[in-house]
Amino acid sequence: MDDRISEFLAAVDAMRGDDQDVRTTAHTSSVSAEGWPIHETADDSQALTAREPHQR
Amino acid sequence: MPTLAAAFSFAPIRSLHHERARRIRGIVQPVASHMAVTPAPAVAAAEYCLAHHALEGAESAARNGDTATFNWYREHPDGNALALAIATDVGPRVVVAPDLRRLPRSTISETPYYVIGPQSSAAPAGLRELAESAFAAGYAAGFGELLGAHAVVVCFLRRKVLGDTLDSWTITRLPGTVFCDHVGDPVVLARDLVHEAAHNWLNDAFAATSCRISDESCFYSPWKRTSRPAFGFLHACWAFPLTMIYAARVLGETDSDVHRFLAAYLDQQRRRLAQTIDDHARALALVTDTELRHRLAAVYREALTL
Repeated sequence: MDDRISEFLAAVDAMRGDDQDVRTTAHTSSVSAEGWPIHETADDSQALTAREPHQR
Repeated sequence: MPTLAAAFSFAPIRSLHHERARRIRGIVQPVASHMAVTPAPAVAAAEYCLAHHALEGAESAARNGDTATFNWYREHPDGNALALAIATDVGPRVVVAPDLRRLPRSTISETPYYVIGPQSSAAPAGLRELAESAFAAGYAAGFGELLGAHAVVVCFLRRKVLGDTLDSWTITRLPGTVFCDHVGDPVVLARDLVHEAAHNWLNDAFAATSCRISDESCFYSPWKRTSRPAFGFLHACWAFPLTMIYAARVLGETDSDVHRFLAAYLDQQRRRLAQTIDDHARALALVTDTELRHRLAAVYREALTL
């Protein structure tokens, strides 16, 4: 492997260190199309997730 | 707290932006000289966001043995993003609308994502104008500082219509980048930019203050309709109140369907936020940084008054 790439990847790994957790903040929202105001069957959720190797 | 700008202007985040961007630049472009001078906050925020794109792009290229792309990132440590940028009321913004079928997925995120790179091109003119108008709406409503520092790159997903489920997300590996659907209306888009920028702000605030929120404590989330770890609960109790404040401020300037949509949204959020009052006080106690805790509390309290 190109020395520059090896050095780069080593530096990346060093920087990330313990900071391996990746959290996704995903949000879906909906206000019903039924004219408004809404009815509560509308889905509205927020998911905050992470996974291996970033598992929490 | 006199203004929202005071809530968003947080010295630890400014330091994080500057130091982290400088460190990443030193890795992506090790032979170049890097400014020791602290840039203006808005510039530092843009550099911070774009540096993460370059880092992700260069790392992916490096791990795949793609030397040409790796070299491109070395020569373009900001992802050449400013060439794609448009001028807005909150500063230059990169607005893209990639082919969703080609968005990468990897272990860095459970959602698809997009990294600015040599193949990137600006979104079509209509979407650039939509984003420009949305940033103007957000700025006029008092969210200029939040959007300026935490929504630097906008990646449009799908065109929807009012009443559809609108998906949007952020990932911590690409801070300052917002992925979002839209309905073609700038006032509605600004609501979602505020929401996602709020997540980016809080992620930065936790990192900058070294706050580690234990997942041992869980609280009922009326948005998810289930019990959530404190981290997610605190995120929701920050991001949704900010969209409530935004909606309340712009409501009087809207009409017809958008007005009814935002009024319904605000009403919906009032009911949900009211269910969190007791738990929010307990969740806030897990935030170890006093200044951060005060900011989260202040915005939450303001939303409760709406």
